[in-house]
Amino acid sequence: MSLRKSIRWRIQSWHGLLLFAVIGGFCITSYRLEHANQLRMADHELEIRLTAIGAALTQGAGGSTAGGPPPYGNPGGGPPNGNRGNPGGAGGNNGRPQRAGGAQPGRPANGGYVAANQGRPADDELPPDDFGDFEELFDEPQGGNGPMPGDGPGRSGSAQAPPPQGPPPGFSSNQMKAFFNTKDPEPYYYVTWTRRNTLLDASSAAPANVPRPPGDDPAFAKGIRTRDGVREAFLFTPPGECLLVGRSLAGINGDMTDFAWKLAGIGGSVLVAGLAIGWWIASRAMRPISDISAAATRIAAGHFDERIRTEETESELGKLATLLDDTFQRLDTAFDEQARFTSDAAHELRTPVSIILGQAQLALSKERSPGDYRAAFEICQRAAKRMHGLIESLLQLSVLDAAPHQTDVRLCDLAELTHDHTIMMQVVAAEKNIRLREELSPAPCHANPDQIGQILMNLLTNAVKYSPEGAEVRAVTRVEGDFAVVSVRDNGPGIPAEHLPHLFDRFYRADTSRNRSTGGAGLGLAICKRIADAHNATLTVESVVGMGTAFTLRVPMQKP
Amino acid sequence: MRVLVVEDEPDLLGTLVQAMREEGHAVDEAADGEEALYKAIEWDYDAIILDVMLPRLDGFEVLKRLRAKKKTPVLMLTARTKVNDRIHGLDSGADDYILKPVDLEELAARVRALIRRSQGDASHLVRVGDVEVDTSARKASKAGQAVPLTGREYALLEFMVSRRGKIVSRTDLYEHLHDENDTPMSNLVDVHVFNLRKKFGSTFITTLRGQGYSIEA
Repeated sequence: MSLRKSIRWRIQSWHGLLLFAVIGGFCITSYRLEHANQLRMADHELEIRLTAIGAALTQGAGGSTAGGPPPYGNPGGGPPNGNRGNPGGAGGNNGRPQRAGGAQPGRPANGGYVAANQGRPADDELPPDDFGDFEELFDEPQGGNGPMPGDGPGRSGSAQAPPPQGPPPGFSSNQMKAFFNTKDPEPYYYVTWTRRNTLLDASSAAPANVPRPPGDDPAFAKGIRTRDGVREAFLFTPPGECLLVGRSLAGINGDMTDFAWKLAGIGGSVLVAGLAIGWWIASRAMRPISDISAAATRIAAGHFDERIRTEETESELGKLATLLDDTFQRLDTAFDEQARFTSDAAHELRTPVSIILGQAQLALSKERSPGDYRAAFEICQRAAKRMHGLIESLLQLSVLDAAPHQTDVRLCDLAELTHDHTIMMQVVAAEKNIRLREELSPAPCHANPDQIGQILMNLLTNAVKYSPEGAEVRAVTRVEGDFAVVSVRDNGPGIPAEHLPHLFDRFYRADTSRNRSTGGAGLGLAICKRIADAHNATLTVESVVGMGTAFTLRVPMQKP
Repeated sequence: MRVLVVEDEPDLLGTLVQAMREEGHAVDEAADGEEALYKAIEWDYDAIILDVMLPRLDGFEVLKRLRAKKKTPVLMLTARTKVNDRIHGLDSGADDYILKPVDLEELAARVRALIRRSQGDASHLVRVGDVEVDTSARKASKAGQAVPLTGREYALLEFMVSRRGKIVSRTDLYEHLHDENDTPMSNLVDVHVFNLRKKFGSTFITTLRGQGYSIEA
């Protein structure tokens, strides 16, 4: 058996495929989730910076900071409630960051992006140089006492007045520097454009020719895009300026590659372990098949007494093995019976042959008297008759075995058949002074009268043969339900119980102290039983030692 | 020699018994295993012919029980040709076996060989002084001259010769030369001994008063 055609191989293949699909799906999902997570974190960082720039822009342009949250996005800090010392700072009482108008005369209209819905002044285009010193926003505040990262924005403001050009609210200059630290291996960069798509400013780390995101939706439109290995967050201010913060994705991609390798390693290990476990489980599951196969091989080699004897009798294969064992047992028994039958038949034939041969040898060994010759011939004749009877019985059995169902049936009456045969037996019975009585009532049935007659003859002969002189033999016929019944009873010595189960076996003789002149070969009742089977009839025996024996034949009245 | 034939088929038993008797043996018969075992233990047979398939006790069982008590040579008679049966028979303590249908001449020769072996003789020719006994041909000669013997005389001679150098009691002689149905008169043995002495010389058989007879080795 080639490996590929083995069930085990197929189970293993499917198991492997399934396992591969599950692990692969798991790994891909994990990878995608992790990738999305990484991007989300990156986007979050971008947005923080976008917010910071927006705030810085607001403040840097306004000169003094309005209280309130950063205008574009809230990186997490609560609304700043500090800077109370700032004269314009109280304008946020509507919860909106309010631009301190006029703080810087050069940028009169710039604070409008706070108040697009407040009828802010016309949105003039800003000169590019307005943002020229944008990076100065990230300079260290002069006082050096700006709120440190982690300080609540409110506390800083309440403690002291902010410097004139401090960092945007909530973000220290250091933070801003840290946000766009050019020494990072992958520094964040920003680019800003005017409404008219003129490049306002770009950090030094920004790649060249960053395209402006299309559109200029003033409604605080934000967006994220991935472009040429960089991730960029952008924002349109109400006046139509565009702020963009970006960073290379190389770091994330590198992390994701590492992550992918880890997933592949773990997934591969799990797959190998799963395959190994699967192979082991398949081995266990296939063990009964191996047992069956091995046992069948041994049985095929002629060891008919071999059995599978699997220990896993509860599994499906175990049940199959048990079933096969039962079948083998029956086959073995059938073989044994056949062998015994042949052996018994040979034995039964060898004995009369021995007699004929021995008598002939003795007769010829020297001159003998005519009486001696006559005696030898008589013995030979008896032996030959026995052989003849035996051969006839064997032939009849083989015919019955070849045709298991009786086809030649016709309507007959067991009472008539019984009467015919008791008349024939009367002479023999009279010789032994045995009374042969009939108690017959009509018992019609469909049967082969010759074969049923043979059963009756056999039963009557046995009854007369084994009953002592002066005994009584009764033949009774009647109808019982759907059966025509005939019983032959004697009040002879009876048959010991241990013989009853074997009485219909071929070559079985209950009469062990037999005298061969009365005993046959032990096939008579076997033939009767076989005939009864062919008629779907039952032949049973009841016997009590010292009381007598009764054989009962029940033939179905209807045609089978 | 005294032989027990065990066979449940009456006609075959009769045939075997007749054949053994015509061979000069004193023959007892048994028709079932129990009877066979009883007789085999009760008497010192020179050989037993034992059928395998017997009522009550089969041949193997008879042999097994007999072997627990006696070493009587046993020849199994079997209709079964299976090698297992033969091995089983020999392993059970049978000394030989013969298959049915039986060739009577072969059976007789095997029984003779069995008896000879059990008495330690390798050849069928036994020489005592100038007397030679051929157990195969059942003949005896003195100084090269054939000596005519009756069946009983030959049987007694063969038995005495097979136990040469030993004292053979009159009971032994009775038991080995007569079967169960004989009712020999007590002086019949003496008559046969007298006749043998006449034919082979008066010193051939010595009488040990009160013990029996003996032939010098």
